[in-house]
Amino acid sequence: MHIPAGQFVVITGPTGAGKSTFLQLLNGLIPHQIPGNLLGEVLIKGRSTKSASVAELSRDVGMVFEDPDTQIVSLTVEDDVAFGPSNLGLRPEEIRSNVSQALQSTRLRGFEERNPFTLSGGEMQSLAMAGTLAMRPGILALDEPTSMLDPVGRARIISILKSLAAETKSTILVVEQNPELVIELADRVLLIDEGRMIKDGKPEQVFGDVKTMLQVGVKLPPMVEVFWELRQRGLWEDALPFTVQKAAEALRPKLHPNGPSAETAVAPTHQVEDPIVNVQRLEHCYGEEVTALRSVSVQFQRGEMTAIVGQNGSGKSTLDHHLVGLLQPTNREGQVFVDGLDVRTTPLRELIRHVNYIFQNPDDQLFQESVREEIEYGLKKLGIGEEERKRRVEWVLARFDLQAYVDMPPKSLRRGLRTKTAIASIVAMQPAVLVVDEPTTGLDRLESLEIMRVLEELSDSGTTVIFITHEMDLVAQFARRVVVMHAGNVLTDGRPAKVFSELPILEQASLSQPDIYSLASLLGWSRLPPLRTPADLADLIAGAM
Amino acid sequence: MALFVYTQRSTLLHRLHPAAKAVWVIAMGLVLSIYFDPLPLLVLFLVNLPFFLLGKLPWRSWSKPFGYVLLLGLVGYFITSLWLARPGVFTRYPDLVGVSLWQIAGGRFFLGPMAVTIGGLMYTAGQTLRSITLVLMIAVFVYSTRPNDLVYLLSKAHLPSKLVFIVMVAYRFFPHIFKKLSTVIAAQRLRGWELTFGNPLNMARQFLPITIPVLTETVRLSDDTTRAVESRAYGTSRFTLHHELKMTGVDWLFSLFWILVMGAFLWLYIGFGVGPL
Repeated sequence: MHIPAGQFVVITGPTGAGKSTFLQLLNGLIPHQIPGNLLGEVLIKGRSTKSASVAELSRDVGMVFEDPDTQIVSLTVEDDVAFGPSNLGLRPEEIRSNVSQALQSTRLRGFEERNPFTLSGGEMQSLAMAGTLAMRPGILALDEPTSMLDPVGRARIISILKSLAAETKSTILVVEQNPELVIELADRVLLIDEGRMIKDGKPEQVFGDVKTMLQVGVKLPPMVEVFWELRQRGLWEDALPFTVQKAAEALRPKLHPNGPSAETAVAPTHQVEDPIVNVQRLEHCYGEEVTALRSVSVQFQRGEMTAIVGQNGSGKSTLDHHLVGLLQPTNREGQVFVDGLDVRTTPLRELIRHVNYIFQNPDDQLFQESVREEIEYGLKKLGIGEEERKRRVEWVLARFDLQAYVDMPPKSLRRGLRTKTAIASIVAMQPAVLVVDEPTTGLDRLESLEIMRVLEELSDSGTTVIFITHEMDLVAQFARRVVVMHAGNVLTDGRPAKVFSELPILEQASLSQPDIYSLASLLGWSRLPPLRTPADLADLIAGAM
Repeated sequence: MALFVYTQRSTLLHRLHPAAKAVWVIAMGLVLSIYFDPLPLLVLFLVNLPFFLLGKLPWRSWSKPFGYVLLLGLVGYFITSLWLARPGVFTRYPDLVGVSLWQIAGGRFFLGPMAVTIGGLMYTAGQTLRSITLVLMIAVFVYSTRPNDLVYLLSKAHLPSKLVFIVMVAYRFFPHIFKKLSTVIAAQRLRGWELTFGNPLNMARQFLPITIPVLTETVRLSDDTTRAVESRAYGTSRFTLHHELKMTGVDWLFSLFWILVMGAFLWLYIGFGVGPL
């Protein structure tokens, strides 16, 4: 394949498809850093990547990785941006000029003396981009630059990419699991699966082939899903729109002026009748300077699946750490009761029988030599007898569909299976309340849905599931209730349909509606019934056509 | 863990040339490596103290981790000192240090006699003072020296780029690893992990749920960082800085002072036998 200068290329495909491998071929990390058998050749501006080192190729190909944390090597923003040009041996005035321009492009002017680790996720990723741009490469390769960011961070990176695409002649290649974020910018889309290029073409050609996309398991832009549903019902024959704006424009002439017939089926107001978690006037301060929670009072219904949303630093994780006793209130009045137990006074070894927490990164807990031993570990620590232990292990293995991996070392499994193993090991302890921190980070669409469906099943069978996420479409699909946090406060709390209709509050929390709600809003539809999936919106549209 | 993190501030130590601070660390490191006697070590600590204060360190946030390090050191040194009960272990004060305050085990104990002695206590005090001085000195150096300046300095010293990279990564990721350690401990505590005291082998095994995830993360971090810095042309050519870095009169004076201090302590060591116990 050939990529001409100045093209904006989006690369998509499921986890493990070979997308990152493809990018690492461009800047020579393969074969110079990552060993293996390399057949064929990659030419960058006519030069083979086999004959040039990674460092030499970095003049032409700037690489931005998924995790901003591992790309930052200095302890001031300015020094970090200067690191690349310094390595190239540029003159001081040239370095200063490059740094200044890169900071300007990434909207980091004024941050020069800041410690990178005091920046938000989006700002840190912007810094990683600035560090690359300061080397003035002709090609910018970004490997899932938004996957670890909150909605604010994502918006920031996408906006920078838009400016770069418009203002520079750089060739930009972006690996992205959420194509709706970059689809408007793309000149070309590459679909990769199992190490093969399945599709290569204009966005409308690639995403228009919905059957292939669904077969591969790639996330479709939600609007494509909605209109694909309509097409399946024989209600849509035109091209599939990618964005909410274009969808609204395409739909308006075809809709009945009275709107959807199901509009009256409004979601009932949410009331907590049987709270299993009761948090009252909870405050938490880290040191003297950072107040993470400000007199928070919130209850969680027994057996309900609740999402906690908010930008990074809004207090979500601090609140969740209080529920499992990892943190204690820093005010006297603060109270946290879980399953009738006062978290302040209950020893942790007792508390974990009632409530437990799964960290975002499964690798923080996996250490055993097999999946079975990993699941058994917590049970042994709780003193569960052998018979019961075996029964529970078999139960979670079946529930999480892990039987095929039972004797394999968890560390050797792909991220989706590691996440499942980590969750399974806690679920086996059968806590009444399960708190899960961003369970779908680093997973593709199919893996994410698989994990969320298991959590939903657990909730349906009586476990209270509280999950933190930045994925609003997953909130719409799986949460029965949403708690919105901002600056240490609970801004609003209720059924998803109600919360997603409160636009000023979402804006205050720097959150956005899921695309299906955005389209309904743009069409002027209010008092919506619960919209869980694009198919639900398609039903509504069908009723209005 | 706030120890060993560079922080952007405007203090005399922050303004000093990294080479001048390196002279300080090397000179004092050399003296500390040969001195065990707590009295001269106390003098050395007091000579260094004003410079620790000049750095305007975040003492409040340092107090907890530093306290842990100090406590751990004290306990470790004291336990080691119990086996320093044999006559002839110390050369400078053989009569004084051999005085046994409390006999714990006689000569037939497998590691030799075991007792609380004046010498053992002096050893504990000396080692603790050495550790405090060394830890504070390195912490102040890291706290006040920009990582890029350090890379520049080490490159100027013609050290291999791989070695410079190791220093840089250690500098940058030490705090990250401590943060990861605390997350892993929290994650395992929620699975019922608790540290129980008893058989040393069993105790070592108990740390596996902590050490394996932390080591895995360390390896991942170092792999990812290697790729990230290589992708930013690390090791291609001579490292240049975007700001001026010149030795000033104050830098020369600072360096000279520590060379003189080192000279004085070496003179006492060689000429008068001061230093050992």
